[in-house]
Amino acid sequence: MSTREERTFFDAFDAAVAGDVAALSPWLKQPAPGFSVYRNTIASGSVGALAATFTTVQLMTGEEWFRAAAREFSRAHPPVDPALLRYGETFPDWLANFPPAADTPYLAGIAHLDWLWWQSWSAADATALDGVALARLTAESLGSVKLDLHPAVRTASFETGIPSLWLAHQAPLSGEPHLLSDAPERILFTRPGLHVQSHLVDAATFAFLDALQRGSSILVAAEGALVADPTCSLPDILAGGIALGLFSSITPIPDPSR
Amino acid sequence: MKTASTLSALVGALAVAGALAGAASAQNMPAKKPPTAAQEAGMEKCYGVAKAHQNDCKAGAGTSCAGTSTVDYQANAWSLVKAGTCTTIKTPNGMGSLTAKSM
Repeated sequence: MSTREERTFFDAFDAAVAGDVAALSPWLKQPAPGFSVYRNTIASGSVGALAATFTTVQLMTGEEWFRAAAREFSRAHPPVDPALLRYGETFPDWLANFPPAADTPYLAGIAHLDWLWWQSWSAADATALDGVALARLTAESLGSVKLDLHPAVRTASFETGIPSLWLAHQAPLSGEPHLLSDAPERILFTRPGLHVQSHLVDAATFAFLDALQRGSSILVAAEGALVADPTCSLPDILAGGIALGLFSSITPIPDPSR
Repeated sequence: MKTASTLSALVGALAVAGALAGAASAQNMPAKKPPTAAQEAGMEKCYGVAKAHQNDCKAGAGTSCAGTSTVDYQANAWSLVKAGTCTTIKTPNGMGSLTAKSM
């Protein structure tokens, strides 16, 4: 086949996978009922990957609702990467605009946290920095070095108690009603070894980590923490970060003015 | 000005953090570092490892022929009712935006 014909064939194949089996008729000498098996395997693989990643969403909605929603999503946004480990990044935003989810407005946030957990879990390994390396930093250097975060560090900030709601669903469920608080919360995921840890963090810690993630110097990040909460304890934030293995290296900043 | 006071607070914090982290790791971890993957004995990283509430195999139903037993590609009429814990989740009234800021 020429390149042009190949493109036509693959377009027709895509269309057949999406449901229009007749698109393949120029290449089929006879009807191919077996194609529906292939098509279904792709569909259920996509749904299965979403179910494996968005476990908390499924707990909240029940399996039947979740799988039906996942089917809708995968039809509109089929996987583009053969590794289904990376499939579903846009699912939380899609869920936020999915009319049947409108009565559970926290679902998109919960999906976002499931995705961050998954990102943390599948991130690269790295050796964490110990306190000794940090204590060696001199006062003059603090404005011109940054602390690189461990690749598995993820954070998220919410205007409501969605992180607590998510955390409550990671333990065995009690059957008690869950209350979504309207107080802002922030959550941190990290994976110092093999196990993802999730912790609620205060506004100052979040501001500090957020600034580091954006490549700010340690000094600018500390200022951010103090702006978020003037009463915060920088020693506690740093010691907590070291204990959780959040920092992986100290790097000079080429342009310290940022 | 602000930067100067932040700087002195930070210098103190780094020294204290170094001492605290050193003390904590001396108690708990002879290696004086958070555990690495290799230190978590008996565990081998594998993309088939299960998360809580999750199937043993990440892509199980899709990569095997298990998918052929159900017709997952058929559209549902959206009359489905959520049946999970969301029936027990109470939300405050007048809740603002639920969007996340994250990195």
